[in-house]
This record gives sequence, structure tokens and C-alpha cells, in this order.
Amino acid sequence: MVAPSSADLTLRCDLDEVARADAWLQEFCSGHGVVEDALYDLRLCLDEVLANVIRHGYGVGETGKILVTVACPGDRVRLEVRDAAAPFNPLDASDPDLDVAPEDRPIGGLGIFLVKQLMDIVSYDYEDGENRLSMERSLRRR
Amino acid sequence: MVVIRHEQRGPVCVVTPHGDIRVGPTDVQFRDQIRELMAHGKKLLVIDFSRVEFIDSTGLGDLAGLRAAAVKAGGNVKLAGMSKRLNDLLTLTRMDLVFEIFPTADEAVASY
Repeated sequence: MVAPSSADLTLRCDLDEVARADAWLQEFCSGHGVVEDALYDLRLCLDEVLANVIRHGYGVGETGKILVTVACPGDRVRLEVRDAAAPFNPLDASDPDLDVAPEDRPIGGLGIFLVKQLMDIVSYDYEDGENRLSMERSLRRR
Repeated sequence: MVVIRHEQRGPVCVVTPHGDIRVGPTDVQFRDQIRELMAHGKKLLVIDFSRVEFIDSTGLGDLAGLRAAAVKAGGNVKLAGMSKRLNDLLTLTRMDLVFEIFPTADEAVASY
């Protein structure tokens, strides 16, 4: 049986859901021959984006839905994360100052920095009342 | 969940987490269990990551906080057994500049 070329997952605004999304992503990628390095990057970036939406978008303890779509068009994997929290472009946030000792760095910011570093393409749109963050990782790059 | 085992080797406590360390319940378990050990006087620590496949920025933040607390108490936290991916992550975030990282827990223990 041929694995479907895309899949969707709806999550609640709950940090417990991040592990469920990770298991779902791993299952999808295992059916598409995604190599280990790319899979790690994708897992980490989805984790970071979801944590950002739950903690800083909706807020922990609040209600809200998050829709994740994964697709494997050709030699890359594309993830899209959509939420209906207040408009917020995480890509506008300045990168953390890595010259500061880790324990003295402000909380937050490191996750989106990792997304920018590890993905090949990252983009943000606000459309139809939704934040939409898309990211792509080439499967050719190690 | 993340299960944490610990073993005392002379003055050094070797902590071995098993499982992913990510935002949510597992990072809290990881941080709180090691803080509990520190509260019981374990301040020379080695964290053996050989049973950890995945850690995110929240877990990295926990590591930084644990190290700072240990240093403040006159101790240290050294890392061992990290996969290439975890090592790469520490390099990318420049945490490799503050942590002493060893291939194995035995080498980390011997360095104290």
C-alpha cells in the first residue's frame, strides 16, 4: 500500500499534545523514507512551534485548536501549523544572544531560533483569522 | 514519561534519564527529579544521555538551570553519552562552551 502524500492532525491547546504530534509525525515519516537527520530536525521544529503556540499563542490552560499538516512533495517534507490565537509572527522575534551564558538568557526565543537554523524555508501568514507557520526541510541535506 | 535512574560513584552522582525530554510533563519530571537529588546534597553530577534520543529547547533550558544551581552550590553538572544530534544541538546553541561533555559516563566521573 502506498503511504498517503499528506496527513492532518488536530490538537488541543495542551502541552501533553506535543508528544502525540511527535508520534504522529514519526509514523508519517517512516512511511516516506525520511532519513534520520531530517526526521530529527522535523521533530524538533514541530515540537518548538507547537510549544510556542500553546505557551505564547493561546496560553497554557486556555482552549484552542491547532491543525498540523505534513506533506512530502518530492525530496522535501513540508509542515504547516495553523492556530486561531491572536495574530503573532514568531519569525519577527529577535534571535537570542548566544554570547550570554545559557542560564542568563531570557526564557523563550531559542525554539524559533532552532527552527530558523534547521529548516530550509520558514514562512508566516495570517489569513482567515489563522496564524499559519510553514516550514520545509530538504531530504537531500544531511 | 522520562524515567531517571541514579547511581552514586564515590562523590559523583551519575544520573541516567531514559526517554525523550521535551516541553510538558517530561521536562518537569527531568528537572524536578534532579533538583530533588541536589536538595539531598548531590552536587557533583554527571548526566548520562546515552538513553535519551530527543531533547528540545525546554530541556536545554532545564539543563542550563540545573548546571547554574549546581555551580552555585559549589558543584557542577557534566554531560556524557550524547548522540551526534544532541551534541550538534549543544553546539548550535553554544551550550557546549559552558558544559564539559564526555563520550562516556566513566570518563565524566573520572574528570571530577
